[in-house]
Amino acid sequence: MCLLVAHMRMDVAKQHDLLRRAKGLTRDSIDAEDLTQEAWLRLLSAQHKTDEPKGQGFAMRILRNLFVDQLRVRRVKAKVEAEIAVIEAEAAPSTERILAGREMLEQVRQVLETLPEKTRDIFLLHRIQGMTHAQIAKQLGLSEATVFYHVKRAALELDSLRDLL
Amino acid sequence: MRRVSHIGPDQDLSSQAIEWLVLLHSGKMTEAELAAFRMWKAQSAANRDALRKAQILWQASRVAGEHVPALTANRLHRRAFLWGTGASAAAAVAGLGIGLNQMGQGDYVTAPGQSMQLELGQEGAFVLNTKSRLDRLPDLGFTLRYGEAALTAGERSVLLTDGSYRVEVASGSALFRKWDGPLEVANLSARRVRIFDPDGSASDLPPRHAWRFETSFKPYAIDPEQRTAWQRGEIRFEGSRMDAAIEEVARYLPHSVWLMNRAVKASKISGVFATDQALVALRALARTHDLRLDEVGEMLIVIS
Repeated sequence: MCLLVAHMRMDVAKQHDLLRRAKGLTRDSIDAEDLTQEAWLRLLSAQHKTDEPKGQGFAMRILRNLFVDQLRVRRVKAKVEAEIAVIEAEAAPSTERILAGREMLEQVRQVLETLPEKTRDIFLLHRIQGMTHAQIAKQLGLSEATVFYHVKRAALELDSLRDLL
Repeated sequence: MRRVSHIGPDQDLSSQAIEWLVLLHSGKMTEAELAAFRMWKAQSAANRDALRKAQILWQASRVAGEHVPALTANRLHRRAFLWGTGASAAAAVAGLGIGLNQMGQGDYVTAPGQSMQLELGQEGAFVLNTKSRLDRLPDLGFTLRYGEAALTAGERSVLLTDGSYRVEVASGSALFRKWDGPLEVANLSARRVRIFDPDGSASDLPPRHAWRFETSFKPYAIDPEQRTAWQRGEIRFEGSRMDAAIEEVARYLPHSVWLMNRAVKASKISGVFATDQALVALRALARTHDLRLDEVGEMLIVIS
């Protein structure tokens, strides 16, 4: 990382060109700085792997691809959130009715209490603390696939209460 | 990460529904997976029914989960309370300070509606708001696990750690909030609130500005009076969204509060309520839109 930072500081002119292009894409100076830094790191990483000098055109392509990726991620996230809202709305009347009976909540609580400790902690970090899989993975030093597995496992255990619905 | 192709007819319908639900909430769903999910959902009424049932249990887990004492943090939380039933809890209730020597490496936790003052000697003092937990870390200052903490830093600066970030506060007031999501730090009136990135670079947060740790450093203006209203026993809203207002009031109650009427979620609310009358505040909020408020045992309030 220190080597990368040193390289980054050496080629200020190239960075400046990238930053100007990034500002044109993002229309936001701070987003542009983030994008430039990420593009620059990828450029250095590519150079490091191949030992071939990469031109400014290559750097610009990285920048543009990163920007397109970011836009795509944001767009998909918005669509997924809209989908979740639809699912919640479709289940809402039943949820109200079910929760009017305290027994269901008590049973759910009991199932959660009997989960293996790791599964329970991960599931509650996700559901109660509102952490994403990536955040949990980072905090607990696990892979996102492992977090996914534990969240799913907890949800499958809760499924034993399906007959009560 | 698992992929769409793994969700298929080899699993029973409820397992498929659960897996889709987990993927939807994972923050990692791709466009192709979303399209595959929509196809699966449209395929049959049985699929939709399986999804509806999975969603009900998923939603119930949020309410019931808040009452599960098994989460590591909650275990610590309970331990701190047991330990705190003596001097610290009494001091908190009486609004008295707690000496740093009493803090040791322990956790400081407030119950719904409770606040707690922690005297730090030359470093100043913290005030914890409702449902909050503050830990002191060896050599790393403090860390706010969740909730809200106001800091008045004295002559010696105070360090707060959040993951790989550090915040140094000198001479004045700062506010830390970590409700749902990343930490937010606000400079209310401090001479210096300096944020150190994981790579060691530092940024100064200007007074009357805040920043949330998930984004690049983009401070935004805040109203310190509104942010610190809770220290005067008030919850203040000015043009706040109804759902956000209800969420804020709910922090002072032991219940989970669900606003089931989607039509009013984005409507705007202004007003001042007392933190020790949170249920009254909730009823008043419900009345503004002729909503019904039902208490479901000691766990849940449903507004519909």
